[in-house]
Amino acid sequence: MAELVAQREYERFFELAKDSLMRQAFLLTGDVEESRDLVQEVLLRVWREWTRVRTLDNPQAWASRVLHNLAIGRWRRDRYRRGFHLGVVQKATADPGVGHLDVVNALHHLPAKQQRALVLHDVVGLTVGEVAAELGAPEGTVRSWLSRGRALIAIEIGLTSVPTVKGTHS
Amino acid sequence: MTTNQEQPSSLDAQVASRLRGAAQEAADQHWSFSADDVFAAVSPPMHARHRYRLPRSSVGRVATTVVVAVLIVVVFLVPLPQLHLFGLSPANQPSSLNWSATDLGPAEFTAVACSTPTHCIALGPNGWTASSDDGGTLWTSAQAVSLPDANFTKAVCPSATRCVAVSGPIETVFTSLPGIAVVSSDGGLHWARANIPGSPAEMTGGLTCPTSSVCYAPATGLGRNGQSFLLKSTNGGLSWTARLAGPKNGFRGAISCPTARRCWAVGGSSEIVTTSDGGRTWEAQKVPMGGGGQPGLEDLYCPNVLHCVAVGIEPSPGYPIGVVTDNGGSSWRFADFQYSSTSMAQGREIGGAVASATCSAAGRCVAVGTAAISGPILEVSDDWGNSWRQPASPSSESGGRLMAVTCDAQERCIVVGSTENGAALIATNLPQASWTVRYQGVGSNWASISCPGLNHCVAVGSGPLGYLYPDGAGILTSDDGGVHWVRRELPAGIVAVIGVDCPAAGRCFATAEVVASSALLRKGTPWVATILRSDDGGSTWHLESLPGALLLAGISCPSLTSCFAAGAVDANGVAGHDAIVATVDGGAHWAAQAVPTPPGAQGLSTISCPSPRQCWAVGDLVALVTANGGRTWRDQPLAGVLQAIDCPTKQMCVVTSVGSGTTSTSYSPVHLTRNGGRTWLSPPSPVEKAVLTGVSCPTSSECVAVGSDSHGAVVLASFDGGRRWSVQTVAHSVQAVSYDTVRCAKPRHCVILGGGWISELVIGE
Repeated sequence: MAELVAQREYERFFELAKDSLMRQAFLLTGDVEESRDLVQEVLLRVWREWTRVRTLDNPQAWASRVLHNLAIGRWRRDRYRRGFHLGVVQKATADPGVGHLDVVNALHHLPAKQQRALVLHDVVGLTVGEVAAELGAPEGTVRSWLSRGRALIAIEIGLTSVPTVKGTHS
Repeated sequence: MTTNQEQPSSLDAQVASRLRGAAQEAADQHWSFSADDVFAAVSPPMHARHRYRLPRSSVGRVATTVVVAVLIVVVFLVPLPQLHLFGLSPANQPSSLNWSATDLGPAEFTAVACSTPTHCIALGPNGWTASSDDGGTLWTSAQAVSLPDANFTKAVCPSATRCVAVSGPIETVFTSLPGIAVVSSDGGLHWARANIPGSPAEMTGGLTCPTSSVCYAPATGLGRNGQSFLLKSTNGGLSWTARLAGPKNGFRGAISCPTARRCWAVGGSSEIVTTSDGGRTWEAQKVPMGGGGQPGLEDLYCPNVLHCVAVGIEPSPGYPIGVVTDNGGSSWRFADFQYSSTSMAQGREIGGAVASATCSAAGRCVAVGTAAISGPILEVSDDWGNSWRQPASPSSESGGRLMAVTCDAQERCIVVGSTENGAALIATNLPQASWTVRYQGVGSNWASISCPGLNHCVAVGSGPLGYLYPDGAGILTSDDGGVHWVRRELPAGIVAVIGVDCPAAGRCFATAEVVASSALLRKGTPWVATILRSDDGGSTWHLESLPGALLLAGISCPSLTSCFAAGAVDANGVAGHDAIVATVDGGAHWAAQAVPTPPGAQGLSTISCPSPRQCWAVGDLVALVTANGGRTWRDQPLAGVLQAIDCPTKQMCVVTSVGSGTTSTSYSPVHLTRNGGRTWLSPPSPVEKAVLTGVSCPTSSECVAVGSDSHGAVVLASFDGGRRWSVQTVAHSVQAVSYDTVRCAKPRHCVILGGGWISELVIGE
């Protein structure tokens, strides 16, 4: 009985989390298949730890952190095989199944923390305060990362030709 | 959630919208992965960390749908001999002491070089190095404090004492490591950052030293639009004082100079460029293009001015690829890698890349890399790359990676990389001889440990994918308290080893799974529980016979002749009623004991027996105790998902569980009895919502518990007999999501399993 209840709970979590994790994974890796591998592994781990995860305030945040941790390890292991010079940018452009690759490529040109701040805020939907807590940075810094990151992406994908970073001149 | 949401401008909103759109498009692509696939792979729910989780009927399905599934995490705790060597005084004990961690081996080595015919070094992440003084046969690993964590891609030793290594930069969402150059003047023992005067620059990952003094390394200026240039050293890599303009498209990384003036390099667009004047001018050479476009060349090696081999990946569909020349680059042609023409063409492989190549002066070339499915790629040519063959890989595991290769003038070669379970791998080869593994780290997936002597420990575990790939089952022994480990042979047919206990330094018992008889196989039962026994401290093992069909997890052996193993009845592959089997004659006979199964219980996961008459066993929603050697077992008033137990004395037991708060409630992750189970306390937890999956009490006053909370791996310790617990800060070079189990062979000295590592932890003075 307890097992059935747990399965039903997990199924609800799965439906809520799967797409969100996939969105994050894709923006972090730029590769659909690799994203699926990551998301699969995260969802397996969540179920393995379900007794604990279900008691957390935000199981999706836990899963998101696991996703990022897994991606760190996987990226480090695979960095040579994939070739960091081409890296995710080339992988993204080589993926025929997904459009919007310009914005993904532009995202990957940003410094790491700007990338992660943008993903957590604009895609995951965390507040600035939550992103700051997640990244261990002051809220003002996170706002700056968001602003600068968006501005640089906007330039790179041709939305504007003039830098619009707040507090700076073009 | 929205009160603090950044309010973007219109342009910001467009960018955010584009980001979401790109991500959503990926998420919207059809993908049939469902919760049922998860249940099939990891089932039933993980209320306890024991090994009967994989429905046997699901094996085939899982094998095809689950790419990475770390299925087996077993927590298993056993009693230790009483060791009151220097018990800590609770009254004077600070709440938190200094801990130091020793990671017992790197995840992989990524660069290798030899400074003399006998002295060789290998480098890996997190400062790990290995060295050999006998030409690569025996290797010793160490974590060099002076070697920074870097993405080392190339090492070269231009003289007997001087070695240089460079890393390529890593800058991703997850981590950021600079491209650096390090240099050693004592053959790789100590390292220091090489001096790069002038404006800030970082290496791009290539390195070559055509003479003992001249070295070249491509670099880029720091900053968003940094210029690419070639750094030159004239003192064997100690300092890089000259900057030479690079080719039109910059450098991708790899470079090889057979002389100080003649070099080949991979350009920024993955083209091959060459110079005849020591890097002052560059000329592009025509490289054949495959169906996928310009090859992504990762490494290049030119033993002389006529011959070169360049290797990498064809961008689409991701084939391993190489190009060779035997006329100084006037023309390049594809290397006929056997791997590409067999595995890929036959559809047995989906992709891969060649990471490193080298050639001897006599024309023997070796190329290594990694394939997506079958793991190591190893190609050898004896005619300058005209024809290639595939010798047997040094890594027997399907998922291993080969990262770098070096060969000396005698054509002895060394390859470095890692195995499927994350253990570092070094192998050597002599001409016409097979490859021999010379060094292999312990890797991950070690689930249970027993330390019957102050320095002797036995660790057991299963493969990274559990029963799906049973070759990973293994047993390690250590004779130095867990610093160095030796892998031991298992009896034929063993697919998993789950728990281990050694009542004496010479005798050990382990719970395991073995391939079932053909009769059982026909009934759909591929594996059955068994007990392994060793009478030589874990060096050799043989099978004991067991009554009935069981699923066994924990084992505890309070004496040489008395041993208890806990688990559940095998109900078609899942846990049924609680089960305990015991021997009183040193393993000659094992008998099932009558144990109750409280409502909701799903089998026993671990057992601890401080004496042959007294045992505690715990699992999901169940805690049992016997005071008469197992003739009768009775329930203990412990609720919750019980994970681990250790009983240093007949009166004292510590049970750990899934906790939900910090207060003294039934949801505390720690439960304590000091009167033989008559009453239990739940001390306050210093961390919220912790899952403590391992506990070890080397004395009745000192206990260490490990597991995880919402922030990752956690270590708690008590120095007053389990009444008060405090978080221990452990300096650990590898980020661990959780620790699985702990064993303290003596006070202040523990070995922790988890996070992919076996770690020795020592509490500071």
